[in-house]
Amino acid sequence: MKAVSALAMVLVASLSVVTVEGVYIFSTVEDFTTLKKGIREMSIIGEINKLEILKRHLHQALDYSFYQSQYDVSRIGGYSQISQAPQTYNNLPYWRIYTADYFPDYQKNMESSTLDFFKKYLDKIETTVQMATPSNVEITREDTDFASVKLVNDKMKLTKGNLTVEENGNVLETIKTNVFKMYDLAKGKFVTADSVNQAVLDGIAATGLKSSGSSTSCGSCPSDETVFQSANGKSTAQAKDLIKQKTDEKIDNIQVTGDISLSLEDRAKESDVKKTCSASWGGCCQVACGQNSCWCVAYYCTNSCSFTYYGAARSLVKITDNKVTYPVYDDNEKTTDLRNMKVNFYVLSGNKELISP
Amino acid sequence: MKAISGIEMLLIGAIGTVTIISAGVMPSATVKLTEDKNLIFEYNYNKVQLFLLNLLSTTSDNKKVYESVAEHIAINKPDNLDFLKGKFDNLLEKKCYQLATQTSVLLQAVSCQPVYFVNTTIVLPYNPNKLVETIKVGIG
Repeated sequence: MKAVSALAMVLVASLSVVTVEGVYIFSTVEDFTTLKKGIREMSIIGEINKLEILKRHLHQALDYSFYQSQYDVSRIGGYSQISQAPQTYNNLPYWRIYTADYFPDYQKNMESSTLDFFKKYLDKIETTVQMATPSNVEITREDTDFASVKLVNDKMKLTKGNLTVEENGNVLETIKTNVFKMYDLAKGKFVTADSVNQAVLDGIAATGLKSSGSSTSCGSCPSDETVFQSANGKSTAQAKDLIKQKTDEKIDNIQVTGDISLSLEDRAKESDVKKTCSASWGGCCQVACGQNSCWCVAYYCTNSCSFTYYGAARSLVKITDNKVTYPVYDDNEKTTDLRNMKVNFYVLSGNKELISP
Repeated sequence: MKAISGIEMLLIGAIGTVTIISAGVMPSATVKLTEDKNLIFEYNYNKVQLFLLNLLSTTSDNKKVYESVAEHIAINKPDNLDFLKGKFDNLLEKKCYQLATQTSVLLQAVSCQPVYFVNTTIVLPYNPNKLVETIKVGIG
């Protein structure tokens, strides 16, 4: 009887153990499945977060690449490298040399420069995401105030275990910029129109110098200079200075102030006066008489001249966005700071090639 | 040889039962505890990442918070990031946070110490000598 009860006890204990273990193992297996699923989901969310964070970095890198590109390209008149410019002066490009104009394809140059800067950023951004090297940047003018900057790229791919997340690799940013307005202003004044030549012509007209004159004297012809002085009340040298002065005043009028300003600096001016004269003799002005007769010893000489006036001017054009600043690096100052955008270039024009490029 | 008494048998049975149950439960309990810890870590790590993502995506006074942080680090403009405190408070329930570089703390809650951190390299305004900076974001 005693032995039976002991056996029953062991049996009951064993059954209890098996039951408890069974319940526990079942619930543990369930727990583990849920837990693993949870960890996996968390891991997927984590990877997606990483991808999203990377996208934020890429967008910002594109912004900064565009800022730097528009600063660097505009600083040297719309070129990525000054060596690309067909004609230069003081390490800046000419946009006009008399009748020839050289307007840069600044938008294309900014695209290639933005891509170069972006690639430098890409080298430094630490990521586990597979990304192809971007192939192209497209800058589109949205309206006068915005540029749409698109980085053309293959897919971004993130792989972790069996999980693969693929995303369109293109990065599109809409950036506020006045750069188009600045180039429009410059092109309108110095490429489509020739404001410097107009200033020279207006300057010459404003001098009030006469276009012709004549002088008569007895016995000898008045010099061309005498004719000029008698017509204009001043010497040729003084007239040349006057042309330069008036041209300078007219160039001042090209300048613009405001949010986008335009100034003309480092000015050089030249002027010239061409006299086309012809002398004619006629009429006796001095008579000598002997005992029986008189004769003419001197005749009048009339010198008639026409005057043509010329001027030319070279100037450094600076167009500045005074309203918006961008965090950019200046290669001369070797610092990064908030700076205004500037478009700098030279123009040379006039009604005669008095200044060499 | 003395026969084993009923009480002794009961005791042996109880000890055996506890031992067998423990032997079955302990390893799985240990593994579960570790997995739980992993889950909690992943959860909090994701929370910090999500906070960082929100932070990098929002704007303050029409300027991206990302730009404000990057420009503060690169050129000290703005000269402090205190204006972002409200933004941080709104993004976090516990209002416990820290934003720091490797060398200095940029912004942190006064009354708490964050526990969970993530590091990320953020893009700075162009400078050929330094294009990125590693920042550490922590939450409590």
